[in-house]
Amino acid sequence: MIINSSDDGFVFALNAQTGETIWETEVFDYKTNSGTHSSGPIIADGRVISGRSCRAKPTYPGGGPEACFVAAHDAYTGEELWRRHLIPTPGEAGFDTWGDVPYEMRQHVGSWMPASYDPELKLIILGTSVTSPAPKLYLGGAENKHLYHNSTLALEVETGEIRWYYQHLNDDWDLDHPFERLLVDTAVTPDPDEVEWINPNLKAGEVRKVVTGIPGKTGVVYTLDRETGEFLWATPTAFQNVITDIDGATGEVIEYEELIFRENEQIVFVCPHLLGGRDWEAGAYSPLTNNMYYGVRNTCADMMATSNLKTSNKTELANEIIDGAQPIYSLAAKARITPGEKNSGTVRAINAETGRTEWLYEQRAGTVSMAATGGGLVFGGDINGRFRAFDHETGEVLWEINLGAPVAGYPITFAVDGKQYVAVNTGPWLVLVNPNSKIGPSEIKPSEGTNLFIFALP
Amino acid sequence: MKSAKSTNSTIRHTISGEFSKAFQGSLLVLLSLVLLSPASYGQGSGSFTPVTDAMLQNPSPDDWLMWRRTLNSWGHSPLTEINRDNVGKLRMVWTRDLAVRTDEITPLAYDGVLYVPQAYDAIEAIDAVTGDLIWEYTRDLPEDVDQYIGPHGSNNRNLSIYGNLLIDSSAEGFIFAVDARTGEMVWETQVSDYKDNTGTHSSGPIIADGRAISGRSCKTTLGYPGGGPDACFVAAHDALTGEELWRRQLIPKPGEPGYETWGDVPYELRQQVGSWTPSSYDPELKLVILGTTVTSPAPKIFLDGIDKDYLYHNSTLALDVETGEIRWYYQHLNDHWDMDHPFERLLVDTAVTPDPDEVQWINPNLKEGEVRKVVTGIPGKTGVVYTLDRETGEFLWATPTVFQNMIESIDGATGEVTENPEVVFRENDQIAFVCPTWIGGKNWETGTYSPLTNTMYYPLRNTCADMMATADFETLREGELAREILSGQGMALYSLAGRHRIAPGTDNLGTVRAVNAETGRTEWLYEQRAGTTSLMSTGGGLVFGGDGNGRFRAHDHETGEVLWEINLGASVAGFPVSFAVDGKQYVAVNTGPWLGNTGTPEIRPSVGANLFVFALP
Repeated sequence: MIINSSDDGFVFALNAQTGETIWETEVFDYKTNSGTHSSGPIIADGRVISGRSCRAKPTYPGGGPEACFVAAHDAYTGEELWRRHLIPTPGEAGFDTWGDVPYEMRQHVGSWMPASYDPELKLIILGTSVTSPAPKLYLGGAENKHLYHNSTLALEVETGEIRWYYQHLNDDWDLDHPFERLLVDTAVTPDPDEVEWINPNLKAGEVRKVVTGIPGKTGVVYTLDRETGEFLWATPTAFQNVITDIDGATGEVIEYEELIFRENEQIVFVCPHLLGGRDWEAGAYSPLTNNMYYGVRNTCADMMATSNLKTSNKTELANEIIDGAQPIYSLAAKARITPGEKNSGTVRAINAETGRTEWLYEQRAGTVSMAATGGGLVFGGDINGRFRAFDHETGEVLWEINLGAPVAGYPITFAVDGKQYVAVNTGPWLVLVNPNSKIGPSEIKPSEGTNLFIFALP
Repeated sequence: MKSAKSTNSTIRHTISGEFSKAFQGSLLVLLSLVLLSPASYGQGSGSFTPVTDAMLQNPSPDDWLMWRRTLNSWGHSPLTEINRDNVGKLRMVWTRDLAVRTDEITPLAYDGVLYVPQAYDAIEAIDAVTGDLIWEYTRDLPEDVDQYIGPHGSNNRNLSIYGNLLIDSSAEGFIFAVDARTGEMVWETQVSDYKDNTGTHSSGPIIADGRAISGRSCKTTLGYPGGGPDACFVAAHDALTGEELWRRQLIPKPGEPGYETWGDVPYELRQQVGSWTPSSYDPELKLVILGTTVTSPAPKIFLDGIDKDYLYHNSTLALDVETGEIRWYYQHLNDHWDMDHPFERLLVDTAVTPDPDEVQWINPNLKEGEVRKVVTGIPGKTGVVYTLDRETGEFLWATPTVFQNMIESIDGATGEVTENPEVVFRENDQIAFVCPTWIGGKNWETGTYSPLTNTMYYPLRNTCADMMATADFETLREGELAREILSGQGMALYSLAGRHRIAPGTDNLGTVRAVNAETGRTEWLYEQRAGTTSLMSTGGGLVFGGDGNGRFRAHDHETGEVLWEINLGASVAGFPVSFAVDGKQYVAVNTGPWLGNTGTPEIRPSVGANLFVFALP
């Protein structure tokens, strides 16, 4: 079977040999309960685990807290086994973290990227997004955490119960944290010269089961204990100014006071922009190097909190910001390359044990998803159509081709009859398509077609 | 008068021909200054050398400066770096998506830049090595243009390059030139009004001694309000100024020779004899050599009977380049079945020794082995090769390639063609089994000629059709066959309906056939299920060509053996070209929508349009 989520609210299974539908189960009504998906499921011990964006009223009439959930279905029958709400329902733990916000106005905490799964611990590890609106002055105030937004959650696969959670950011700026979680068993020896925040209780060199990688748009690497959620270490990659400190002992995150919106139409300068840093483009981890590799972008934004997407501020800057309105989030933003940087795109190799940057590749065009291979290569593309292979130890570019359009897809590799192939697709890419989000290099003018490309040795 | 710079921008936003003509005087002065200046013109890192007639008539091996690279329409690149020994290592070096609906196009390659025509008269200049966009030109076409010209606005087979200009025909009836360095409009001249005089183009012009020679489909009043005989013409414009020099109507006007060949058909109902593929040009004889299409309707019973010639339909015409006068013509077929003959004419100087064992019709007066200036190749959908004397139009020899049953005989001494009386329609609703169909045989997909082998190579299809001559497309008819035909492809424009299929006796739709230009012998024949598309030969001993199933391949030019192949996913709709930059050879071809996958329902390519470029590692 090939199993997917559908735009109209179903999870469905096709016969992999014929393409015929085997089962389909309605998960929600797209008109009354807009739990829009952008990803398909993963399979965790016979269960189809699917997350979704979930939409917010009033932009989407079917929004609301009930639309925000992760569901498990029996992979053979489509029967729903459980669903876990990502905004606590009345009576559940964490309900109080939204203050006085009426339940039906607690919205948009989705999990729109596929989860990871640890079959030994029987834990589904997933990430969540920002609230709507994003600035907490429009909700329960900055002192309330509005769980479980921008968190890592560990769910029991059999019940969907929350075993632990860790909140990465109390987020006023639409800096979602739903991205892929890397599950790695590694010695944990963060290098104090390169790692900004470290748990003082770590035993240097101890091998831990961790959740690591860059979970959110801020570009900050977080390493947590996979069994308990204990904070181990964290450090930024691209320039960011939203987090001023993380308490190493507790993992508590302190946001930069001056960036927290305190009034409507306040303008702040925030890094990165709401398209990252990183976004849905995936990094890769190689067990050969114990390195993780990420396409991270150098971006910042002048950003305004605005309740009605208008402003009485007549300055040129305010007008340009309002042109970049983000209705669901009560935000407007004008993006730019990080001051002092010439390059929008980077690929960064970060050691999973030490947190050290092993190499850094920089270029004008923004970089996208990666795949690491046993051949010592890291494949990755950019928004200018280039797809290339890096040496996983040095970052040297060993091969490159121009595919004409943004390399929007996730590279994969496979073998048939002993011959290895690499595949990746091009397609439209948000940061170019959305005129309000144009970041940097105006000289980059790819085409926008969608093609799947396959490569092999002669 | 405005400055030259602001004039350009003014014309860019002006559709009115009269308004733009007002500026032509000043543009002429501007262009003369530019062209006479010995300096080169910076374009980023490079410089731009204006293209001359001498360059077009003897192009650098590195460049591909027109539709078929040379004015003799050979489609041959002399480059040798990619050859039979190493082509197996050929690999893609870049690709780029083309405008939606872009199909049969030819990139021009000049000095490291590709100039790429695309659907609805868009043009892009692309760095030939990196694939990066340099500039793009898009044309503001009237929103209703498709209503008047049909689907042909998406066809844009080729551009011309001359001086600093890229010259193209536009969907709404203009010839226009943009600066090859910037994409800015330099001149445009209205040739036809797309609403009143629907001379739709699907090809761009060629340059014949400083003249932009453009043909067009021309539409009929059946379905296109602007049709009529005045829409059917070939025009010559001054390539530097856009001034119209002459136009040659392809349906004789009252008082012209040939007017009587339409009998009693009122002049305004003499329609659709177009010339929609670019012409060839012989600079020594000063002759433009071109081909024409069928009439509308096609069955002559719906005009004034089958005993008239309806000139100049389905003919080869030789026009004096200076005046557009007809030096000679040869009619290939009195055509009842929409078997157009507008395709590329190969101009070759060759010994003429047709082999009686393989050539069906031969002029008995030929002197064996005599070298002649000929027009040869397959000019029409029937797949028949015709070799004519280029100076006089004298018939030399002809022979079929694919199975055809429309021509019964050709008189070798006179070249007169006799159609098979069993398939000539004599009454309304008559059904005939006709081979090939109006899809061809051959169609707009080009062959190629290699001087290394004196052989021409053609992509041909094995097709037949049950065809009905009818003015009535009501499907509720007596008879199962009639109902099936009428539920198939109907073409009201031609008063024809047809049910197409692969020719009986074969499962292979596609062929590539190598035919010797001297002897008419088939040197090799490649056959496969998918229909084949345009070809290019190279100095490396290769014939490149694609098919409807996305495959692009290189054949050995002597044996037809496939030496390299790749799947490009979508039909290989475009015309392959080859060029070199800094001594390195490249091959380019595009994919796109293609209409030729008739009879092969299991072949399911995607339909995207991409330009692909290949090179050795």
